[in-house]
Amino acid sequence: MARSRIDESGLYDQLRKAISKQGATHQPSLPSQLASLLHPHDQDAPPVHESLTIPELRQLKTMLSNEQRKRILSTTLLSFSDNEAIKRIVTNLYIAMMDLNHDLSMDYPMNFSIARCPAREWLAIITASNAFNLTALHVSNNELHRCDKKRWKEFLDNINISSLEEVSIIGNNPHPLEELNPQRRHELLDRIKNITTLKIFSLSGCQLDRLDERSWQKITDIIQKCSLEELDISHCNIGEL
Amino acid sequence: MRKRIRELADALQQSRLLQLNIANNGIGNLSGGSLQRLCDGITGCYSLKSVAVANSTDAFLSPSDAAYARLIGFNQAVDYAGKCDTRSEIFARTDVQTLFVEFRRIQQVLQEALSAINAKQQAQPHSLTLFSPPPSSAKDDLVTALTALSKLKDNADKLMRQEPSTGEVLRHFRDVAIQALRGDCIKVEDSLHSREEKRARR
Repeated sequence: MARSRIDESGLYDQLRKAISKQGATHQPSLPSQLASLLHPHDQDAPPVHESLTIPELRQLKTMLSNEQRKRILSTTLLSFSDNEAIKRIVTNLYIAMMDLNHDLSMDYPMNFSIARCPAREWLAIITASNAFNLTALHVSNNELHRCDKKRWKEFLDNINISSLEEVSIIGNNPHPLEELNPQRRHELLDRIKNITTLKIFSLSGCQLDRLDERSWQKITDIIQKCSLEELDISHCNIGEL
Repeated sequence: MRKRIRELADALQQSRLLQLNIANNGIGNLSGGSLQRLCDGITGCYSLKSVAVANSTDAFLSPSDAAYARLIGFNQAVDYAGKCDTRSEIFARTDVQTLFVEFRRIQQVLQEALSAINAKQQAQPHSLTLFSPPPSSAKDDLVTALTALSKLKDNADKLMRQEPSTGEVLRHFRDVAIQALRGDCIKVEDSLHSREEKRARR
């Protein structure tokens, strides 16, 4: 589908203008409004505040295609966060939005907790990841092992096996893969194994000698993937394998 | 030979990788057979163009260490197979990095000595230089730099003897970088002498 960058950024400005008109006191409710627009049938979504009738928003809802709405609203929703880590993610989203390819590199900042990220923000992150072409995923100290069942499933589902070209799971003492329980580790490695477009894979810092046998076998399978061009297994204690 | 090393080597050999970073893995700890198998896996991967293998061991090995010959053999085999950027590997080494840091330190000392002399010359009219001694700090700096330079050259020579595979960069360092520092030392000396000559003429 042909997309117009200029039109979308114009609409986005319009949306920002609508938000600024609401004044500081009403702003905390606006993400709910946006999330409800985004997911009208989401049972968990808080009720829409009818007092916040924003003509521009209603107009946007009818004007935009689903994909455009998802993209614009999810970035707007994220921009409400005071969390510095979220703001960095938003920057990537803006770049993707301005880029004609809409390629998104999701680089979770150090010490950003995927497990403890508030539900609203997490919803916006995964919606945005789905709306753009998620081409790179970088995970480091992001508390993957602390995710509850729902969050973990959403994280896995977010790994788009037909668009990702780069997956980087790095860290040390301990590495995120080592922290995961074996079942989840296998699920994650299976998902990576199934990425048909994977070109770059980094496991830097993972103590490969400590991994269980099934995980090890999955990693050697990933190395042999036809599409894989770059592999980083530095700081992986290969001397002790 | 260890099972996982064999499996890793097989996976690498059957891969279509273009780039591999296997640095900082303590592969110096591997037995001769394991290291050879890993080497075969890397050199046997036809698509592979660039391999990073820096810091294969935590310690700087001397030629008498058993692991030394094994690692040199490994590096050379990967290098000869055209898979390795030797220059970048060498630059990443801590002992070579120390040489570069020392080089920059001496260079800074010499440059400061030169500017101290120049500043002194510019600050005072010529008629008064007769009574003005050269900046003593510049002389001290020159002595310090010359001593450090001699030590730096010894260290570079020592590394060259111990690590033949790093020859190119170290030779360049010894010949070009150390020559450049010598040139700076001569400049400082000349500046000091020219002041003394002027004083003598007067």
